[in-house]
Amino acid sequence: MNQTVRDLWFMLLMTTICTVLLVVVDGIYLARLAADPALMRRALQLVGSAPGEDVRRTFDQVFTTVTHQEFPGGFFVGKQNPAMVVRQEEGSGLWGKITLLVAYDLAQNTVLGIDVLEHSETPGLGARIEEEKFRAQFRGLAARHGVRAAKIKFKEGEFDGVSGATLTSKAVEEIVNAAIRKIRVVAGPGGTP
Amino acid sequence: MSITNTQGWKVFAEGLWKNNPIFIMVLGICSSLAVTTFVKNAFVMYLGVAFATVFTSTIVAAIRKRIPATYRMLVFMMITSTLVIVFDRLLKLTLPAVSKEMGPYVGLIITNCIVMGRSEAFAMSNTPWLSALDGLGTSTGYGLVLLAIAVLREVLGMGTLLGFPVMPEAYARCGLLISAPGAFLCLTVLLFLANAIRDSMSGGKK
Repeated sequence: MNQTVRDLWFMLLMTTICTVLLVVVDGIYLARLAADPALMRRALQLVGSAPGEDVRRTFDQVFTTVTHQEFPGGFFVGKQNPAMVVRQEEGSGLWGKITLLVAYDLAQNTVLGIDVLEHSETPGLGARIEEEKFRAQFRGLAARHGVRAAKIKFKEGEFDGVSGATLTSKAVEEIVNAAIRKIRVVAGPGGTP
Repeated sequence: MSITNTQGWKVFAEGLWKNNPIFIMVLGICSSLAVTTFVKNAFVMYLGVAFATVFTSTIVAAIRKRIPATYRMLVFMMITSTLVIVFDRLLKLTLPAVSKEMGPYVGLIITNCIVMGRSEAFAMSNTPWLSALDGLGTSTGYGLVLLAIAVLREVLGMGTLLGFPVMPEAYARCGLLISAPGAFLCLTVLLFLANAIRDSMSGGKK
């Protein structure tokens, strides 16, 4: 009996130490990950600010990072214009993960632009989502009810999918919509985070 | 007294050749096949396994008298997984590109039999210092075989070494070596060589 109790205490102690250690490491990791200079540069370029000499400093001047317990990863909220939010969002494409950076304006309900951080789509087809011509469609795209990949654009929020890459276009649509949805949740009813 | 005569050195050197985890114990085969397409990845894998083995062995040896015999495997797993997650996070922050290439194999160090094997076979009955040396020796033995396979595969399969071209322009790359079966071939050839050397060293006696 005595031995059992002692073993129990030992296991409890071990588990506690490991858990606390992991929580601390994860906290540091997430904080460092959000402070990735490459990501900062892409976010600045997306909203049309020059990264300048010191990316970190410029980033801190332009954005504040807001976290939300429900969605891991940060939301970059504009300092001068808090309605402007940039969100890194990922989803599955045809062959693998697609990670996008989505800038959204909550006041105008428009997408300000998207950037493709990573993808492994078919070269020449799905991979064309990287091209400026595709990404440019999102600049100022009104999206009160989200965006939609379409063959012929005639409604608000619709963009030209890449021909021959329906699945990739749909994936981009889903990721952008997920980003917008999360940005709206974080903003709450007040309109700004 | 030379360094090669100390007990610590003997414990360390045992894992390099006499008890090499891949050649003799035939442990860690899965990862030695999976991450050896590039020398760089193999080296990072070696670092990860060394980190996990050395620290797991040391911690286990330090608390070996308190570990309940019934749950000892559980305790090993807990320590190893904590350490491996820490290493994985470190790698993701410092070398994100390598981390992506290695895919799930860093996390799979947790289930690498070498780590648990050393805790069970050595650290449970030895002092922390010796256990650390044993862990280092065993993981270095593993790492050297990993690097040997990786050099073979990268040079003959891709014509590069650490990303720099080393073979002449006209060299036709051996695509087979880059594919998964090629790893088996390399490992088999190395295993054969190691056994042949071992036999000739022991003078033919069984």
